[in-house]
Amino acid sequence: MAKKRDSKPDQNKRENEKAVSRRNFITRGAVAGVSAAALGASVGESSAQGTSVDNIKWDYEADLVVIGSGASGLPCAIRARDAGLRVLVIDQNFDVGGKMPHSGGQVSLGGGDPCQLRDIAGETDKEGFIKVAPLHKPEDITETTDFLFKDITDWSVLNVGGHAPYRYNDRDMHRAWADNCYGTRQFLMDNYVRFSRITGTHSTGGASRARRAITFLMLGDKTDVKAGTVTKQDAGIDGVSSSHFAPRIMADASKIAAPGAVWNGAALTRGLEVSAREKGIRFMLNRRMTEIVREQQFSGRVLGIKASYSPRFDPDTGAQLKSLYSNGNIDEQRATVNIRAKVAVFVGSGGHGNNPSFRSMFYPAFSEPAFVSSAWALLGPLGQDASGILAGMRIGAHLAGMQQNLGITQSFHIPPRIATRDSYTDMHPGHPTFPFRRSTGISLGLSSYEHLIAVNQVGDRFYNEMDLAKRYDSPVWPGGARNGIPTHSLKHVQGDWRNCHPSWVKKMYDSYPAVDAALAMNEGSQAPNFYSGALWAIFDSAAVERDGWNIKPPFTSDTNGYFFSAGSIDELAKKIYTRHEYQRVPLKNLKKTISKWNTYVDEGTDPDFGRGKDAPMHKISKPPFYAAAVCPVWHDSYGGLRINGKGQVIDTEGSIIPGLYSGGEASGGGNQHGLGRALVHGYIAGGQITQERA
Amino acid sequence: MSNEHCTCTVEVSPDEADAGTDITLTVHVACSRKDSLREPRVSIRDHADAELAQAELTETDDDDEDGVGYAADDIVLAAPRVAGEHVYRAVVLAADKDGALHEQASTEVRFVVTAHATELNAWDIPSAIVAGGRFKFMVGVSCSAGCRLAGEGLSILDQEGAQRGAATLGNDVWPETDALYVAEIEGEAPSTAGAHQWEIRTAAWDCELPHAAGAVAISVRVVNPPECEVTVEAFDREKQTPIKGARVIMHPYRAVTDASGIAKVKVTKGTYDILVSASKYLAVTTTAEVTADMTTRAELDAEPPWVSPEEDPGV
Repeated sequence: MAKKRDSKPDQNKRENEKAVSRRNFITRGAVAGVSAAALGASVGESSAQGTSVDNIKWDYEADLVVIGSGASGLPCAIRARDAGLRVLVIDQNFDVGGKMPHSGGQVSLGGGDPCQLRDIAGETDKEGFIKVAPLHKPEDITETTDFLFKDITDWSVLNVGGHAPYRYNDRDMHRAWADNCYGTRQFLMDNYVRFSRITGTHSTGGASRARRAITFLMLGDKTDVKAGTVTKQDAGIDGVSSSHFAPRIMADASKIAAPGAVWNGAALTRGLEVSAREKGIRFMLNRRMTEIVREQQFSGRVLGIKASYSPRFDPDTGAQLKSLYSNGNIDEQRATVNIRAKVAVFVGSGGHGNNPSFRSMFYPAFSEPAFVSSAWALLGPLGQDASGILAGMRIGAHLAGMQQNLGITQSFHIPPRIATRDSYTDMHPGHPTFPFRRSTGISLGLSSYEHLIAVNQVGDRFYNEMDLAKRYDSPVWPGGARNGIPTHSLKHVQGDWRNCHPSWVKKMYDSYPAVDAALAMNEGSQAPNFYSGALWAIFDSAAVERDGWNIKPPFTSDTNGYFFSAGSIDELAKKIYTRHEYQRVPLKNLKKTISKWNTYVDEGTDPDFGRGKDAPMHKISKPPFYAAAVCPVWHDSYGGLRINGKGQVIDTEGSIIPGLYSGGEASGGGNQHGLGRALVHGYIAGGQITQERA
Repeated sequence: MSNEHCTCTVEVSPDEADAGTDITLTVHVACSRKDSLREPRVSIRDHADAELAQAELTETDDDDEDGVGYAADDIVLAAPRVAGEHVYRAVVLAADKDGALHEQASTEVRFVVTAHATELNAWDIPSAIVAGGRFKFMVGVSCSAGCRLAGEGLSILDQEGAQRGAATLGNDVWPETDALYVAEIEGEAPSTAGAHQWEIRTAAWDCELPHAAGAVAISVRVVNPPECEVTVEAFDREKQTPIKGARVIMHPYRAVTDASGIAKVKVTKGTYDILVSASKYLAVTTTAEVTADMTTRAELDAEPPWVSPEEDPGV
């Protein structure tokens, strides 16, 4: 039987051990002792001895050390570099970008930002790529920063789950955020990022105006980010392959930009990355920050960081994974190095969604280690592990926004993708991290759930399957009942008490707590952790035929333990128990559950969960029988280091920690979702750090 | 000649095995004095003391100052073909100075052998069968040990225990399964309307290895002769094109639309919820009182490809 994950998980330790054990694959070169001359002007190897902190020997020195090369880290690094600072970016992963490459590249800013102004004027972009006319009327995208600020702190707006995503946003942070949207949008466009027309508003980006533009590239004969082109191969072939350039297949952007344009986060990531490398920013990849060094633990200036080697290896070949681009990389392989930051350290290490212990501070039921954060394969087990937040806490940083994970549907939910652990997004073969997930997953429409039942680790159903993957939308432009707002588009009134009058809330409430049911204790939950265990979609060959599911590789895998088929239910249950690492107990009730379900189908009613009213019920009876893993995901993180409007980290006494900055998902204080939040944070911090140096 | 300083322990996995399937024996010997055994071996013997296997015992790394431990590689045996409790004996042997082997210690090895379980499934049973009418459905049988079941018999019993039919499992393994054998069964529905509980049974076969009897209950839904024909048209609301393969449920009646988007459902008079669903469409439900032949049209909205709300580009 496969070894079960029945003790407290330590995924980081697991992959670290794997990494150490595979050192033999590394061909060591003379890189560990790389000289200052070799590093050029941007980052120097330090020979400094004897700082005020226990005579630390600094192995490297830069003005700014950025932890994490994602959506907050890269803008911070580039802006500081533009001002002449020596910048070193470290990242635990083997490639640049953090979660950005797996994102949609959807950036909601606003307040009269350059994309809004461009569309108001009816102009195209400077390269002339955009061919479609503006998608919104000028009045729908005309606003001021004051107006934007009021929108993203509007106390009166609720979502259809009854939560208030704007009410608790930190006012100082969000005032600064609104004030810097214009500058950030222009900064991004100046660094090889192309934005589409404004199209609606991204989740939690405000309800009163349209503010979202999406990053795109044009299909071309060669991939040339500076020229704005990407090949079809690199953009990804629909249903077939991803690429190292774009871990997820880029989507058609003909309706938001131009025929032949494709969009997603790869366009954003690679644009910023190419610009950063071109400007002389140095990258030390495969390098995980383990400690932020301060003069004294709870006082004094932040001096630098300690970081450990964190290479990743292909699980099949043992080959070390390499970044797509390498100019500017420092190939440092020592187990640990100390990096001095003359001016500042920026913590852009991401959130805590992949740290079961940390995330269970917000939601104890999600301590179940079977389930991971989004972009799990891309980032590896050290991604989204709260390491930046924890390191800040160890030197006295305060936390903020600790309740805000609970108020937004993106935090945790059940994506409609089965048969893969990395359920939030698809990924096809072609990206170096595909072997970690091994299956793209079966993507279901919500209607497809009529063809299956979902069971917990003992084989019991736990929720109406038709509602399992339902998620409510965010209260954003253009408003309306679906978005929780009683009025529509320009009729929305900020701060109007009627927006959350109880009668309206009762009318629009439409929440499905399926994930809470999925994570509930059951017969198989055992002390001391009472894990809820693995979840399974159970269906038969008739379901596959009826709804046309593709259950062949790469959508499923014969070897990753997330999809099984069998000629009998007993055999299916046995395979799950013996081959899935988080199936800790036998599915003792599965046969009985299916028998009961088939009886319900005969009777035309489901007394347990009320199915049959809005969609047909089908027997599970025609072999072979299938089980595909259902994996709830923790997508975004809210709650992290407390920062002020300048991106400076605040300690528990309310004072600034000198030399320490943060942003994006490593920081807390706002319910704002996604790239818009992180990019502006990085932009703000980069500017502030530059001023601090001066 | 026995050695009072040595004890032998044997673990059997699984401790309850299907007849004839593999069992694994893990042998450990602990001796309280060092160098007490010369060229030790373990012999596994059945109830008649016939040797089934013999394996070398090698010294383990256990850090015991006073004694020494030995272990053998896992010994894999076929479990007996007879169900019930079985007792084997593990005998520890060691050589004397002349090389002759002598018994040093022994222990009983107990385990249970079970008859193979058989699991039955029935599918393609019509959801509504006119009283007295004939109908067909499929039955599949698999063995917990994957035995070949071709040619084995099935019997079909009604709720009074009267035999309603019989069938023999075919030769072919059902596609995409390891060892599922199937039979098509034709039966005659009871003459009274209602849900009739029948059972498909296998006997306790003793083909090559013992197999426990298996059974599966099925519900035979018998309806009175139809009085009306309901024509259901399934169309795409936006395109106004017919939807082929849409599922129409008027419980207990079921039908599927043809290329023209039409399904004809023959029902008895009454009030029905008419549920229409199709792949990539949102299902719709209407309620109709059926008193005569009628036609109803279901217009379905196409389901947009699922994009997480925050990733929907909005156009």
